[in-house]
Amino acid sequence: MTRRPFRPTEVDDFGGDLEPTITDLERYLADSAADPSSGFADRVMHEIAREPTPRRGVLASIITAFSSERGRVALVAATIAAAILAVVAAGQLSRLMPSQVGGSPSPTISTPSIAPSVPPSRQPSPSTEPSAEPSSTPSDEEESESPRASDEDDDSPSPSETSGESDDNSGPGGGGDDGGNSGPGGGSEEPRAEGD
Amino acid sequence: MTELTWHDGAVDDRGLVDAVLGGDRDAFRLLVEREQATVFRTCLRILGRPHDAEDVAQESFVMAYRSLGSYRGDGPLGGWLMRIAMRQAFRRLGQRRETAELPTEMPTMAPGFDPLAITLAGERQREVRLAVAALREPYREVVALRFFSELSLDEIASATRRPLNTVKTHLRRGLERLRPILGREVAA
Repeated sequence: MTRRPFRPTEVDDFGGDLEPTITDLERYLADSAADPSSGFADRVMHEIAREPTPRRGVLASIITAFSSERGRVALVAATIAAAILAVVAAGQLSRLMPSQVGGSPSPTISTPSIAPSVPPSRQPSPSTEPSAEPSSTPSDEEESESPRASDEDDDSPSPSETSGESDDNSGPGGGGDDGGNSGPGGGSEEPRAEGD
Repeated sequence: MTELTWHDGAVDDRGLVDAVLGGDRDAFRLLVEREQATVFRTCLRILGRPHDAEDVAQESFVMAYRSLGSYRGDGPLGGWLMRIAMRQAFRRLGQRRETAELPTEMPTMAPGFDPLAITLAGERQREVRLAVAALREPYREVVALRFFSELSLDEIASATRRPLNTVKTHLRRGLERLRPILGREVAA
């Protein structure tokens, strides 16, 4: 015997093409109208007797849920899951950090580019010393070359601009960043789903 | 104690919840006795096995007791409880390995006993269950509340806090998705 508080006709206006489906479901409903075994309510109340009195409010009900025996197990499991998530998130963050700050470590790459740029500027300076001894004309030429070298030095920042390119490379790193953000986000959603 | 029915005006859901929250466990027994049959049937229709259904129904009552403080009172308590049971049952169904099985109590000595018919009927029930379980939300919830929990569309609307027309649309779409599956299985 089913409860059937509804009007079976309330789905009639759905159209004749859905009629066989509704009939199937109605038949299933009628065929599976069983009752729980005797003593079911007593067994439930036996379980309830071991539970603390529920409290009003969503937060209170969560606290109540965690204060029971099973709740404590769930709390431990949730804590472990949160710790694992935190470790995973930290791991992802540490992986993302170099690529995210990719601009600042890149000077370490540009330092070799500076190192070659400095010696050429020093080479002309000894050349100016000999130039002072014999004549000024070659020294002028050399001096005129030295500014070129210094121009190259000025250009040498262009490798450091390549470090700017490494910033561009950090762009995909930024993409990884997004992925990283999506990771923990997805992770944080799962426990919520579990919480439901 | 007289047996109370779903729509018994004497039982006020809010008053019952207040009593339980005040420490009156007997008030919760009233709820259990009032809803045990429908909660059990809902679980049975989803899970198909009486033992599993009783297990999940019991879990659902305990879970409802724990979270009773979060019940807002803006819908019927039975509908709220039914949603908990339904979710628990679908969760259990997703965890277990589905196998075809024969009815546990076969009247082997009964006259006119037709094992083939019983087996086919059981298989058909299993197909209906799995077809509904495979529906996406929110269609699954509405179809299950309507046909497994026996709630009216008004009760579903109030339990899910959705407009009645939205519930009707979800039910219609759910049935439209079931139609080819169930129809195909009938033809097969």
